[in-house]
Amino acid sequence: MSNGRIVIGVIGDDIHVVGNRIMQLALEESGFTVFNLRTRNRPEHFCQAALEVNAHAVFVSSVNGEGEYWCSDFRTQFADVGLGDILLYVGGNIIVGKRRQQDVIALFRNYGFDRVYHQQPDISLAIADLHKDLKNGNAEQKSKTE
Amino acid sequence: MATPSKKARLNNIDQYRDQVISHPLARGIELAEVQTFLASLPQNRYPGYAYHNRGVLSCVQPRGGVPLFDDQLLLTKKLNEAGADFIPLTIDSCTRQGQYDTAAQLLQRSEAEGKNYLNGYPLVNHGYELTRELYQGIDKPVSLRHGTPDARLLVEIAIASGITEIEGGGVCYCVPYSEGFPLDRCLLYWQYVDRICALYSTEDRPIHRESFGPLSATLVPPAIAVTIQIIEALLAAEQGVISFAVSFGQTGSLIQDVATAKVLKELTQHYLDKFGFNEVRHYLVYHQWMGQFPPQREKAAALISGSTLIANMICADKIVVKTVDEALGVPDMETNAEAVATVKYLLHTFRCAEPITSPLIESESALIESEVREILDAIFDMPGDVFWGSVYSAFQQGYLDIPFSPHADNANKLITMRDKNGSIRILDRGNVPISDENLEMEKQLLASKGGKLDKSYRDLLSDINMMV
Amino acid sequence: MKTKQRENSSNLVKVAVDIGSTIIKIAQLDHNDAQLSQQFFTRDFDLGVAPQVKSLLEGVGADEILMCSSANGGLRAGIISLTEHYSGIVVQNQALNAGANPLFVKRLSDEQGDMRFVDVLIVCGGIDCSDAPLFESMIENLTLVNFKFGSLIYAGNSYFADSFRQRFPEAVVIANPLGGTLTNGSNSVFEALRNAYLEDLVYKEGISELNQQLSMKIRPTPEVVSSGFHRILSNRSNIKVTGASLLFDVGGATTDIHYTVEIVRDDSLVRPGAASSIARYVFTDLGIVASRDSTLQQMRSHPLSYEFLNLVLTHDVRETYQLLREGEYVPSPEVLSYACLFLSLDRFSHGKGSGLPVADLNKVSQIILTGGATQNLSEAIVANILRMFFSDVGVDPAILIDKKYQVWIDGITWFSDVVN
Repeated sequence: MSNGRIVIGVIGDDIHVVGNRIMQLALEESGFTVFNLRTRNRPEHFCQAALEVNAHAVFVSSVNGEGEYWCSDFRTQFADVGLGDILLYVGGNIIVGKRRQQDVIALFRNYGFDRVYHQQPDISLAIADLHKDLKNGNAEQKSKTE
Repeated sequence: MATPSKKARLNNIDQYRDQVISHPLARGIELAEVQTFLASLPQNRYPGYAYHNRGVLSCVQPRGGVPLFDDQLLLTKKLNEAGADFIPLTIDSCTRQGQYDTAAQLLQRSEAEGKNYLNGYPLVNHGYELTRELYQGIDKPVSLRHGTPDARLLVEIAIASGITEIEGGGVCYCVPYSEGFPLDRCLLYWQYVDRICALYSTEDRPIHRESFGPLSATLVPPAIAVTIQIIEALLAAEQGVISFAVSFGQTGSLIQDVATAKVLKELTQHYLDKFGFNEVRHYLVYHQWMGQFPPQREKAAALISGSTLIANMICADKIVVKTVDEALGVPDMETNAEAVATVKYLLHTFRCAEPITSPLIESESALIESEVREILDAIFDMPGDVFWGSVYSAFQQGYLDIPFSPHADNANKLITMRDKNGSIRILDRGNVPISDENLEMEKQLLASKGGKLDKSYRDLLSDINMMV
Repeated sequence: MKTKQRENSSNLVKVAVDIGSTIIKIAQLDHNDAQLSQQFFTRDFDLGVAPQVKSLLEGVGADEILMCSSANGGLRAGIISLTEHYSGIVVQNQALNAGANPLFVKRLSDEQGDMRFVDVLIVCGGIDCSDAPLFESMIENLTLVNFKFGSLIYAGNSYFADSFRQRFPEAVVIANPLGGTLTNGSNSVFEALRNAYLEDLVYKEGISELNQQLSMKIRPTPEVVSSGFHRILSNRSNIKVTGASLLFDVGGATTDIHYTVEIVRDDSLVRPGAASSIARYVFTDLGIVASRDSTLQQMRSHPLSYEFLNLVLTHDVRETYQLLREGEYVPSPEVLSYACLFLSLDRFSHGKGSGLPVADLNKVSQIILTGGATQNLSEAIVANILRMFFSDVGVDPAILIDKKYQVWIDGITWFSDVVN
């Protein structure tokens, strides 16, 4: 019995794959069924994949800071296909340059992400949050702070 | 059943070559002129000669490529003075992808602003005539370091520039490096590269080929690394290459390194002989740690020293070196030269006349050798008419599976982890055709040394980053 | 009807037959698969294809008869998928590999239909998963009144096959090509279409009787061409190419392109099917007979039509341009072929077509032109047309016009599994 179907992948043109592979193994270890889009994805790839697999959550990774460029209307795209309530997580090096953690989090929460992990190497936090959020349902966790 | 054979040799490729070198950036290369030029180079510009005369010490090869000609000239001089035995020419990423226009723009920008906008030397844009000047007065072999799936034009220009060692191969420059360059096309393009190296070679001045053993440099089990090296040696031998170096990257386990070197040398010889490629001379190259480096300079220095000792213990023909600034990015010239000097010092001080061995090393070698034979036998048994076709099928079936490869055709079913001694062990073989006995042995080694069988991803991450 | 020539029967080993929409081509091959001779026969629609082919082959002492067909213009397929980048592209690519011609790829959520008749309409989407409320509701609300089709195939989430059948009892259910994952599913659509294609021939053309006599099944012609292309690219043919290649098969109703996937731009949102180094695409509105009008129409409205005419005509360019603009131009078959070439290059370089990736034509080393409509083309004119699409200086691909249908011979004599 799977704990949930999760779509993961790297956004933009980055081809760093080690973190992505570890993420897959970590999520599988935690009982999730992972659909790995691997690298070089656009928002629509995540969106369409989530639709095909009836995903419970989507993990978007960015290693080289391209995240900001691609993510600004992320939630809207999902809402347009009827997945407005899906859990959206983003993590990695999601912006270029240095900015305060809370600013980055606020920025991406604004884009519609439920959880934001900027430059946080420990993925177990995200996985623990995922368990929580799936149990509690979206509505509640949206008001939590990271 | 398709086994390596001279029948696979590309013949009558003159028209094909004309098409390749008709590219404007080839700037009118004439094959006969290149042949004459190569014959005019001093003998010690040839790797075979350098290897033959190295004595007991491994040859030292740094990496290095910068966009501007003058800077590359300076770097070349510095590395030469520091005692490098092989001079590198590392090619930038745009050129590797065939994006010569972008490379040209970034080169211009680099020239205008005095900053490096390319992470290597854009050989195709600079051209062969200019590049020949880099090596006037250099009496050591120059080695092309890159990561190019379709390297046909690049290598034509490289050889025309007087570069006599070409790194790469149809598998090693495709599956670990690219996301989706079709593997079968890559194998065919590398047949061309192998063939032209063979065509330019003479008995005592062969153009040398070197495969890239580290692959993804992330928990690659020796069985896979060795198998792929042997495959590339055989593919090159099919095309008439007579001077070839197999290589591997430091695994992180001293015992495994020594065992891998032994198996690699012996089995390369075995399979070249088995398929009748008796005229091929082969050599062993060792890459210093290719994974994440410690950011602290002293630790980085210690790591470099340690791996140099391993090169001594395996009597590597050549060692490809790192610098103490590896964690920071591209090293500057001085740091690079320093690394060369340090390694040379160590090689000399701790020189070793014969490879080290021990019962543990022997048993490790036996395991690796057994697995390599199993995988290769399965590949030779595949239906098909050409060996390169079987290699392609092997990837499609997952018989060959490189951990952490970004390539769409890589099976990604093989899972490896380190045991308590840091050796890389197979936890899940995926579709790789190693026997149940060998898989059982791998798992036992993983467990008996204190490692749990289903280690978590955290341990996997620390296995990958063991040097940090 | 031409009389067939009897070749030196001691050399004759195989006979290859291509049943086209208007012409039957027959080639005699020796034991090395080299062509001894070739003949062309106009189809006798009164007699019927099976009797005609039987009579043409009567007394021919060959060890093997190989046959392919593109009769009826090829199998037309329509696709309704859940998404573009996953179910849509997987099914489309399998259809293309099977030699079928996808006329459209729509979304389940689209309200508009497409009234062009398709032989097969395929509904697909979703991985095999019981928990799929969105897909379930789309299937429940799906209406097919705005489509015209011969057969209906369901290739979607297997958990909803029964509900689909309840609404559309005539549907044939096949395995979901996405399976339980997004990738590495089955070739169900490819298999079904390849067989459906043959059954199409059987029902409508009466070729079934021929099928029984043959050592190998009749193959769809585009699949044979694809096979030939693959053979050439893997260096198993006497035709030698020098790198990334693009093959055009210009026909009466369609223009097919077969290409090495390395010419697809890295930033193309549409990727060719995974795990294959060659791909096919078909422009169903570009051709020199049945698609003549749509080809002319596209030429007429193309911004570079004057430049194009300048390249292909030796005189009266301005007058012809005028005629073209006024819809009065009656082009020769050669000009129409050049137009198909030009328009398909243009579309490919911009990815203008459902499921068509964007190509970087600068990467092309080799162009091959095959098919009846390309026999009389000039390499020089083809080169000039190509040059309109290169942005890099000095790109100069080799051009081969396949005057002896060697690509077809290579394909029809090679039985390797081209597709995954």
